[in-house]
Amino acid sequence: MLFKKKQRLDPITLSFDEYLASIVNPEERLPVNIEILKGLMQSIFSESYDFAERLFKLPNGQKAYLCYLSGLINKTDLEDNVLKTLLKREKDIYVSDDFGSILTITNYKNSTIWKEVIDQILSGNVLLLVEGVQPVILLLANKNLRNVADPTTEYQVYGAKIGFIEDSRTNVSIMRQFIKDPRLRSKEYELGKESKTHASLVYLEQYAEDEAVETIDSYLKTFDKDHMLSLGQLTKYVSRHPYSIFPQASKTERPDHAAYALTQGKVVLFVDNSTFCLQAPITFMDMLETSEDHSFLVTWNLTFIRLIRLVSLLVGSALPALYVALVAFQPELIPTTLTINVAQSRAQIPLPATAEAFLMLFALDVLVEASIRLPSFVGQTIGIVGGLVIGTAAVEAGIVSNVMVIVIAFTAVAIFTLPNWEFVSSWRIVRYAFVTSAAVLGLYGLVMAIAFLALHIAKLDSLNRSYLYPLSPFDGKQLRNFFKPAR
Amino acid sequence: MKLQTEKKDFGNIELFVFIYCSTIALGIIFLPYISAEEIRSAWLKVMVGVIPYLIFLFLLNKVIRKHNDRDVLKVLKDLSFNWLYYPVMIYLLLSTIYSIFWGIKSLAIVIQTYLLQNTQQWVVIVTFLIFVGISLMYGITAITRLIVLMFICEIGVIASLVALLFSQDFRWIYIPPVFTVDVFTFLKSSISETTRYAGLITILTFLPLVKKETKIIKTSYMSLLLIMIMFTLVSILTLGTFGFEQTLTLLSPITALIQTTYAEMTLFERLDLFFLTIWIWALYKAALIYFWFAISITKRIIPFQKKKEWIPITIYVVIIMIVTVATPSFVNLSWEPYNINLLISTIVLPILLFTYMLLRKKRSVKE
Repeated sequence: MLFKKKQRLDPITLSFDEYLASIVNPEERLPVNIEILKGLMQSIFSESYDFAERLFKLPNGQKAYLCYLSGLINKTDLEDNVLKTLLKREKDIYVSDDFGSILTITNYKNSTIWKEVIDQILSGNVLLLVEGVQPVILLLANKNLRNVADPTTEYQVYGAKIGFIEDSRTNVSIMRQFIKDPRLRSKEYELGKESKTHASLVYLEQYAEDEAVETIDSYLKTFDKDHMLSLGQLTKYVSRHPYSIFPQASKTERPDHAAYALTQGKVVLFVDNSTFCLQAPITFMDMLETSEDHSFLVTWNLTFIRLIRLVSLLVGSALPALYVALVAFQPELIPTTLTINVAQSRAQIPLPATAEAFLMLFALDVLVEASIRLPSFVGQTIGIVGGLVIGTAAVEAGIVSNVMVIVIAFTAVAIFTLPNWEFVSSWRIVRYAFVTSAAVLGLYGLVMAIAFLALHIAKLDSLNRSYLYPLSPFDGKQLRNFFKPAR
Repeated sequence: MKLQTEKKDFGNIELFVFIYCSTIALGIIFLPYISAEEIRSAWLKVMVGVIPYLIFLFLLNKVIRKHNDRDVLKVLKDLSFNWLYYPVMIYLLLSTIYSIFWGIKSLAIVIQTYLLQNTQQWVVIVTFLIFVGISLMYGITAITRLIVLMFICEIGVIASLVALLFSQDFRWIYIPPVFTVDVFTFLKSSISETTRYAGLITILTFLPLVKKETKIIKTSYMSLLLIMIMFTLVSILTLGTFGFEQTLTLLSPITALIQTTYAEMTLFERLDLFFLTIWIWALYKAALIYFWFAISITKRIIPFQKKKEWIPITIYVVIIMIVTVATPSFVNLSWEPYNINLLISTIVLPILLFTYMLLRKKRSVKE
C-alpha cells in the first residue's frame, strides 16, 4: 500500500509500578517470614551492588533481617542505635511497638504496603524485620549533602555570601533564617512518578496572591511526567507559553534574592538536587533588578543602574541591526562625516554589512558559549584569543570593518549588564531576528520586528500576571518604585 | 516589583490609549494640508472638527445609561429589525476594510518616499500585512497591552513636539487665522477635518471589554481632547515653521518639520527618519485596532468561536493584500470619497443609530 501507515514499534519500558508489580503485588503488605522477604528483596534490587542486607540472630534466638541502600543511610546510627541495642535484647519481641523501647533512634514507623516500603528504601531508610513481627522502617536516611557555601554563578558585591544547596528542605530552612515570619508558608510535593523528587513551594501569605499560589499548586499536583530531574523541566511545565523565547520564571541560587522575591509577593519553588530555586510570577522589569540593588546607600545609584540596564538592553539587542539598517539602507540618517568614516572602513571589506554582522554575532556567541563551559583559567585564555581573533586580526585581515568590531563589542558588553543569564540568552536570539529584519527591509523591517516583539512580550503571562506589568497594565506607582523606591 | 495591585481587565488607561491610538496615526502624518478645501486656518478647523465626535460620545453615553449596557451594538440588535441591523453591520465592516486599505496604501507611499525608495511597493505591503496578520492572532489583550506600552514610549515624542514651539524657525506671525472665506465655507471645510477623529468608532466593540467601574465617558472625552490638542499642535507647528504656501507642497509636513528643526542638533543627521519609525508604529497599532474591529463586527454578523478567529483574520489580510498590491504604486488617491464615507460610517450613521436607540423604549428584562 502506497499510503499505508508504518507501524511504529515503541521500545518496551516498564514504569516503576509495572516493574514492581512484575515481582510483588505493590498494594500488598510485607510478609513476616524472613526468607520470603529476603528473596523478594533480592529480586527487586537484583544486580545492585549498593543494596546491602544483614541477617542475624538476637540473643533470645529470634532471627532479624535488615536491608538498605548502603550509600544513603547513616551507618553510625544504624550500628550504635539499632544493631547494638538489638544484639543486647534478651527478651522476645512480639509486636512492632516493642521497638519503641528497644531502639534508640529518633524515629521509625510500621511498614505498610510494598510500594511504600520500596520508596522508603530508595529514600535512604532501612527495613527491619524481626521474625514474626510486622516489619518496620527505620528512618535513618542520610543524604549526601554539602555545606552551605558561596553562590558560584551569581556574583554580587554587597549581597549575602550564602547560596542554596541541593536539598530542598535545607533550602526552606535557609529561607526561614531570612524571613522570620509565621506567614512564611511551605508546601511539599513529590514530582515524577519514578524519580519522586521532593519539591517545596514557599510563599508569604498576604503578600503572594492566592491565585498565583493556587495556580502553581495545581500545576505541581498534576505533574505527570516520569522524571523530574532539572529545574528547567519544571519551568517549562509551569509556564503558560513554554515555546516563547522569554523565560516566565526566574532562577536564583541566592537566598537574599529569593527572600526579596517572597516579599514582593512571588512564590518560590525548591526542588531536590538543584542549587537554584524558581521564582514566579515574574515580569519584564523583574529581569532588570537584583536584590543587591537595594544595598546602595544612595537611591540615585539604583535609579542610574536600572536606567543603564534598560538602555543596555536596547543597545545590546538592536545595535547590530541598526548598524545593518543604517549602512545598507539608510546611510543618509547618520552624520556625513560618520558615513564617510564607515564607508572608508568598509571599503576593503568583501562582505556585505549583513554578512559581516552575522559573522561577528556568531563569533561572539561561540566565544561566550566556549568560555562558559571551560574552567576559569582556560576560559580567560579563550577570551583573550577570541578577542584578538574577532578584534584586531579580523580587521587586519580585511574580513570585518573596525566599526563593526566596535558595534559588536559594545553589544556584547551592554547585554551582559542584565543580571539574569536566562534573559540575556533570550535577547541574544532576538538580536539575530532583528539583524535579519534589518537586512531585508532596513529601518522599516527593524521597526516592524521591534513592534512585533513588543506584542509577543505583551502576550506573555507568568502565573496569570502580565509580563509587561507595571508598564502595561499601567501602574504608575509601581513603575516609579522601580526607578526610585519609596523610603 | 510588587504584584498585588495588578489590574486584570481593561481600565481607564487602556480605554484612553485605545481611543488615542485608533485615531492619531494616519491623521497626524498627513496633517494638516491634504483636505479638500484648503484655507489658512487649518488648526482652527481641527478644533472645530472634534465637535461632532463630542456629540457622538454624548449620545453614546445616553444610550449606555438608558439601556444599562455598554454593548451598544447588541442593544441595537435587540431593539431593531434584522433588515436594519445586518445591513448596518455589513456597511460598518466594509467601511472599516476601506479604511484599512487606505491606511496601508498611505503607509506604503510614505515608506517608499522616505525609507525604501528602491523597494517595490508590494514588498512593503505584504510584509506589513504578514506582521499584522500574525499579530492579530495574539488577541485583543496583547494588542491592548502593546498599545499602552507604545503610548508610554510616545510620551517623549509628544514632549519633543512641544519643544518645537520654541525653535528658531517657528514664527507666530503665521499662526493667526486668516479668514478669506465666509463661515459656511469654513464649516464645510472643517467637515473634512472631522474625519481625522474617525477612529473613535472602534470603541463600539471595545467598550464591552472594559471593566465595570471604568469611567468610560470621562476617559473617552479626555482621550479625544488630547487627540485634538495633538492635531492642533502639529498644525500650528507646521504652519508656524513653513508658512502656508510652503506647507501645501509637503507630503508629510510633520516629517519635514522635524527634519528642518533637528538637522544639526543630534547624532542622527536625518532625525525625521527616526521619527518616521514612530509613525510606522502608530500605523501598526492603528492597523491592529481596525482589523480587530473588523473581526469583531464579523463575529456579530456571523458568530464563530474564538479558536476559529484565524479564518476571518486570514481572509481579511489576504483581501487587503490583493487589493492594495493590485492598485498601482503611485496613484493620485482621491481623498474625497474616502472622507465622505468615513463621515457617514463613523459619525452620521452612529448618531442616527444612537438617536433611534434613545427613542426606543428600554429593553424588557426578558430580552
